[in-house]
Amino acid sequence: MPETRDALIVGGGHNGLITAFYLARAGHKPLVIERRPQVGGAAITDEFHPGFRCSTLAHAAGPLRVEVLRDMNLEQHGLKMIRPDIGVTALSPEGAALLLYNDTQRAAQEIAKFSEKDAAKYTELRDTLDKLGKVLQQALALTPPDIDRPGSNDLWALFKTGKALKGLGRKDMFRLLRWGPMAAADFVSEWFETELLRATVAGGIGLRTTTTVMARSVSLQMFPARAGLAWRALHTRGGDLELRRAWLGWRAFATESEDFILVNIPHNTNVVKLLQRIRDESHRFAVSYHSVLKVKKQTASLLDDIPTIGPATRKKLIKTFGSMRGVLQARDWELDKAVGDKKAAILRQYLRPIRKESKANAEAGENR
Amino acid sequence: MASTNQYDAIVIGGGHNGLTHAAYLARAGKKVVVLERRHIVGGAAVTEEVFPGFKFSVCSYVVSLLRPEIIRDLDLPRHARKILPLDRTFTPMLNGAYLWRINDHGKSRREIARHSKLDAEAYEEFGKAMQAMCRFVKPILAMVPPDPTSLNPRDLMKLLFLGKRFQGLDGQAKYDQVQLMTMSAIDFLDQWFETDVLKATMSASGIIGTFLGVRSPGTAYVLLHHYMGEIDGAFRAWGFARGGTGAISNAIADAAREVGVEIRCKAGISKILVKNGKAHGVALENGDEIYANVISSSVDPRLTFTKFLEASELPSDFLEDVNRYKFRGSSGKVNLALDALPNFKCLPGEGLHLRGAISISPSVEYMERAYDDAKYGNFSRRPYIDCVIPSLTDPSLAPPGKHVMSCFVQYAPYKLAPGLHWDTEREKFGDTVINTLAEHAPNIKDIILHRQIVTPLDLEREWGLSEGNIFQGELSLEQLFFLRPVPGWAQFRTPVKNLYICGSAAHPGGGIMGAPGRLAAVEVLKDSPGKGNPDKDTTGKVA
Repeated sequence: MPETRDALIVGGGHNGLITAFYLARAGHKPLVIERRPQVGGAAITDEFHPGFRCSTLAHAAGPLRVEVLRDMNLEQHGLKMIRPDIGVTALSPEGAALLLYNDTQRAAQEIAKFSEKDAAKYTELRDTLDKLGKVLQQALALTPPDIDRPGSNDLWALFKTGKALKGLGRKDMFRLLRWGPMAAADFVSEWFETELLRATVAGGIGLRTTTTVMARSVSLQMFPARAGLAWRALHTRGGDLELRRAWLGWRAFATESEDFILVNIPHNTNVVKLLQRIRDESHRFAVSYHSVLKVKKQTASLLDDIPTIGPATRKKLIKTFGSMRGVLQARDWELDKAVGDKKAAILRQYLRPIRKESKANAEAGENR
Repeated sequence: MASTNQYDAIVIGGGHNGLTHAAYLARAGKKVVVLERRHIVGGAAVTEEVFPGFKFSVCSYVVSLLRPEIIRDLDLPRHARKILPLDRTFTPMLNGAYLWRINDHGKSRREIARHSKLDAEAYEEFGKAMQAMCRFVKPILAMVPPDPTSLNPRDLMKLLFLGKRFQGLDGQAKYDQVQLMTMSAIDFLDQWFETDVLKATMSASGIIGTFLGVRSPGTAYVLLHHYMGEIDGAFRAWGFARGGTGAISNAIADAAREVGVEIRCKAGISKILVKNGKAHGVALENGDEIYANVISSSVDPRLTFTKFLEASELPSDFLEDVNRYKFRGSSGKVNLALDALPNFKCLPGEGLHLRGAISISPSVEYMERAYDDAKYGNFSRRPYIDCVIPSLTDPSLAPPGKHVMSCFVQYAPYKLAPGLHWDTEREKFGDTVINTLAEHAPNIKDIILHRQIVTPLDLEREWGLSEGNIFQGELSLEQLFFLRPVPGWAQFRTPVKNLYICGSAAHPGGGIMGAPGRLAAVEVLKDSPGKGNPDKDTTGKVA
């Protein structure tokens, strides 16, 4: 049935949903179209086995813009961000572990176990990033300006950003300019001497050859959101270069509300071992059941879905024409002869679209 | 004696930039002395008779970036500077095919069309787009970088000027420019071309002198930097100097002498003399002292600030920035004296293809793999090689019937893996280069009379290029324009009063360009005016 809307949003990921929200708030009637059975795009949580829920793809939530959280009133819709004390635990092959707490001071204490110098540097880096972050987040809140034909809005926004940049002072301004195009590996080498710390921080911003500090940090929006707001949980990890791990239940966009509970269990206790056993068992079950499903799918035939064609007829068809391709290429009278007029008529009706598609594919293949 | 040791200006280092700088200062009426540690002037732009009868342009081997205003101002053509055009790039491939680009537009098109008709179309568009880009970047080369943090009207005007120029680019060119500044050479070329060997060869200019791979971001800019070659007003032209690269240095030296510059060779300095935060002279290695009110250093910042100066004479912030300035030399040279010409499997015989650059860059993957070795401290097992045989165009470089072949080799990392040292690896490195060439031209091993291997360590020891970086510091974005060499000190001055930098480590960077030397002279003369400022001499250029 034809339906008229004033806005269609293709894709029901978090960005699509947020766009729809703002349009609706402005009085439009948007429709979000999602191909999958659930909304969320890459930000989804699945119950892949009864009782086990996993953030299937993105498993840490970046700093969702504060305005969005406020405007959509997500807290009341049940969104709760959890921010663990430890941002990253980095393991070294020698058996040492570096615990990067989200709290700068505690992180510095941990780093001091490796190097006093790095601990001091880490604090300095975080302070600097906090400062730069305040300026950058202003830039992030802008619609990217049209550099081709900047309108007065673009110019005003650029001017404001420029003014904020000036406010940084000479040293930090040059830092911002210099860091932008730098390779992550060079960047961390400048700051730290501990290899493990270098690798952990660089891991957050990308590898030597593939990404530069700024490209990656902007795309991850690594810089802290507006300081002083309640949404500390959305701040970036360790103030440094990756997301702070905050688990986000995307069910928040639906109505149900369910809190996570974070329990600290000392490792090497039996409780942890039991949990690990349960986890491993559920993995095993999930993986093997998945493969059962997959095998079924691999042996499926196009003929399965056609009513009145049972296993016997299917066998007969394949035997007569050799393959599915043979069935598709068979002439009408051949089909009639093989399975009888009545069944052949139904078969033809189902084969027509498949034939069409295969012909198109063949043509495309030739052109290639 | 005191009178002979008192000058208006001392220039440390007699490379092409030091000489250019000295010439401009002398033209403004200053009494200038150039101090060169080696026995000849030229720095890395030098031609030496290494083996009897064979003259090698030991380091730098092609010319193109020399600024036209310098050629004009110093009247270089009168000093026998003659550039012979180098207009072909020949890339042999291991499967027997080859790519041979020629500056003749029609021929190049037909040649590329052999590989891909689409690329032949794109090549033309690409050339136009790059020219638009070069036109945008070129004035920047002739400009003293503004300080973006300053509110000084002079700096603001320059920033505004840049903004306006950018505004003046047409739509697509603006996006191209932004991409060029941030992308990798291959990503950038991927948008234009599909032929692998074409992309590989073109991307090579994006990595020269940097410790980066063709897929590393930022290399697209270096590509442009090399695209800006200009000889006698023709864009994108590279050439040989008659008599080798050293002839250019000699021409500049002659021009400098003519305006009264004194050039002293074998005069290495050991210390810059500083009193009350002001430089007032230098101490030579032999103990002599020379005094002047202006000291300009054309050597790299590591030598200038950490070897010739005491740490206590510099602010610690500045010193920290100098220490983190990246050199990371990544290339070496192998110079060959040949009995005959190499014979390439894919195009046998002594054709015109030998007269241009011969590029060993058969595929993008080859280039990236060459970098892989370097990342972990080895020279590339199969390196990128750019060869020229200048004796074909300039027979004066070799005995009759014989030839010199100059091979630029990348990667040869300055810092080798633990346990390896360049003094023991040198010959192995030479063998690798020759084996690589032999895969394409099997006769090469039989025709080599002599070979000279220049490792990054040799560049440091003999030519004073720290870590063997041919540009006195990597041409990566975080070290360019107002960030070169150190953020906040891009206007050729230093924290020590009366001390200036005028070498490739200053804006706009390396290559036989001469621009740092000239621009530094502009700034020196602003501080202590002479008779005439080159600022006002050149028409239409912003300085």
